[in-house]
Amino acid sequence: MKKIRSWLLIPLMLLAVTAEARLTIEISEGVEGAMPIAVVPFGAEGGSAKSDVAAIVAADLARSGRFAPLASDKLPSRPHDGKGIDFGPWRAAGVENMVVGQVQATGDKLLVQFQLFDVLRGVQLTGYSIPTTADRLRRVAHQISDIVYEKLTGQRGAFNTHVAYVTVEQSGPQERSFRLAVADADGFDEQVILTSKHPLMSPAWSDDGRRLAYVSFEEGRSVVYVQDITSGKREAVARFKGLNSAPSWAPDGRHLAMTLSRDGNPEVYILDLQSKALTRVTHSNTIDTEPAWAPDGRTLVFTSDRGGKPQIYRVELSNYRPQGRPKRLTFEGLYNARASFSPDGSQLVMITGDDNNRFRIAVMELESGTVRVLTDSRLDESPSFAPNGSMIIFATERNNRGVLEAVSVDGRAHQRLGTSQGDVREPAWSPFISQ
Amino acid sequence: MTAKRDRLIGFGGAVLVHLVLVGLLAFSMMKRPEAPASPAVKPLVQARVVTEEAVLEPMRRREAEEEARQRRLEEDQRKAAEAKRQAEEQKRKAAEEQKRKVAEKARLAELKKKQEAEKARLAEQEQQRKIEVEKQRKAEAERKAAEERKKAEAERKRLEEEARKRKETEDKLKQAMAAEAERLAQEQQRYHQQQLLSVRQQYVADIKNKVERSWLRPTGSRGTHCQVLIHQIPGGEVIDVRLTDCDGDVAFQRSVEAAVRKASPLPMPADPEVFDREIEFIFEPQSN
Repeated sequence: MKKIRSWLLIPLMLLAVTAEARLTIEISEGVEGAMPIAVVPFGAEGGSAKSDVAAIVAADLARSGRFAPLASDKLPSRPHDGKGIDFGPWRAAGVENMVVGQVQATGDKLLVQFQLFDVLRGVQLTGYSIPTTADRLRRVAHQISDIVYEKLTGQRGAFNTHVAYVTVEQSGPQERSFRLAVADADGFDEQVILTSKHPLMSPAWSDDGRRLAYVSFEEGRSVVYVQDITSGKREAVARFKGLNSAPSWAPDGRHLAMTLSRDGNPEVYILDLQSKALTRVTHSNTIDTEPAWAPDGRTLVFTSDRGGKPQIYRVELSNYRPQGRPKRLTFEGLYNARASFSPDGSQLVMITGDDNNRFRIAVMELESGTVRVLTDSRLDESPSFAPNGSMIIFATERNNRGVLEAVSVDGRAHQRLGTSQGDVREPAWSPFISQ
Repeated sequence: MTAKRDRLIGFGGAVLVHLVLVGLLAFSMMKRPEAPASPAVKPLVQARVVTEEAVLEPMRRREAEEEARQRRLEEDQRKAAEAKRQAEEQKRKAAEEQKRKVAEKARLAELKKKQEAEKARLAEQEQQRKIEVEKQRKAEAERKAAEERKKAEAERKRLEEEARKRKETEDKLKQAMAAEAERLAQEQQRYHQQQLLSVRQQYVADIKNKVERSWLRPTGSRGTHCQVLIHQIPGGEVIDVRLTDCDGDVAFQRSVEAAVRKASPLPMPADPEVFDREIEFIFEPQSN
């Protein structure tokens, strides 16, 4: 009996082992962090390129918070194309992916070539040849960043996008100069759209990225304009009695929500740009302002102090008319204002004020109501999402000067943008540019 | 009590009567051959009366004489009696002595006889005793023999039992040794399996550790589950990675593949038997 059992036992055990033959290993822990990548300085043929494409790409990727480009002095070598790359040293340097490329100049024309390699597998993931000109080299660099970013994260890149903002400079003893400017998303290549001796405020992008709505006091009172960026043509769309402010584009590009005090008290209205029909959205004897559209165009959020302090409210729309009473969305913090939607409509970014008079960037998950404060500054303003939802741009005060900063949605990556002089205020991140 | 004393008095009386009778008999026997003495020898003249004085004097003298003669006679008689008594006494004594001697002799004879008897009895007794002793001895011997036999039997049995037990023990021991050997073999087998298992566990732990250290979960990525099948060659070099069942975004999926590729060469097991060309990883970030 014993013997039989023992003889049975051994094959059973062997069976148990063979049944388990394929090792299965569960991996639950990992370090969260940015992906290490190498962006090797591009080679230049036929004359030196004006911009360092690799540096722009590396800076773009780093700014997203999702990549950690290897410092250029740590690069094991500087290849310009994928031929005969020995990936061993790159792997040893901890790099997972690498970008190599070169810029060939033929007269005025440039040809930018780049390749993205998976260092671990030793294969090319993508590669492009992009013809361009010297003055558009930065844009090409941002396009490369977008391609790399999308290839490695699966998310569309938003580097080749723009930021509109207002700068203020003291131009004389009693004179200030206001400029409405548009720059690349990294703050470079600033182009001034409008200059005024009177305040310019609240630039807002149309969904196609071709037009800006803004408020100008050039007439001595607030007027809402819509301006075509490329042609410079503009139109005053709201010149009502009292306050005309805080324009916000509906996703359809044909409606603007804004704040008017034409009926005595600042209230939210919707303006049909074609018919000029005006629909009043809010009815209260307190201030209702800063409307922002949900991406589906069926909801507006706005700031109202109907509860005593400014808080965010939401109102449902049907055919651009309010449906039901606005509902309060924010309950955390003494002050919540200047809300805008994430591109997927799941989050709101806003300014939240605490009892230490600090105004910081916060993101609220609309489904759960969870609020996450992303910054640790004192006076943040005008946050807006990047069109891919990964970053938020905002203005804040550094050394008594307004500057642009960007923070990743998880709050991990936080960077100063651009080189602008003077006070920079009220940034607005453009939609994706279809050019 | 009284009855007992009465009996004793009766008995004493009887003895006395007997003794007197015996004495009389003896006396009569001794006296018979002799003539009767004193009383009948000379008859006394008593009826003579004489005048007082005249008569009294001679009479008194005679009387005195008589008296003296009487006294002499009496003395003689007394002496004779005494002698006779003494002779008789002597005779009696002699007889007594004789009797005593006879008695003594008889007694001695009796004694002797008794002694003889006693001796015989003693001899008999001795004989008996000897027989008894012999009997006892025999019995003892028999008993001893029986005992001896019994002992021997017991010893034999004991030895047999011992032998049996020894054999049993030996058998048991043999069995136990066989079982032990078998157990050891099993144990060894099991130990080997366990060792393999523990080697396997260690192997798994080593790989897990290296892959987890290699896994950089990209900031901002989304994913909760990813199954990866890898192929490795001896030495641990990963030659193929296939994502078989994966949710999450590109960054998450790429990070999973990057993790196993960065972990290449995977750690090798202590025992090559445990090595497997195929390993499945299940990536499930704890917080997501």
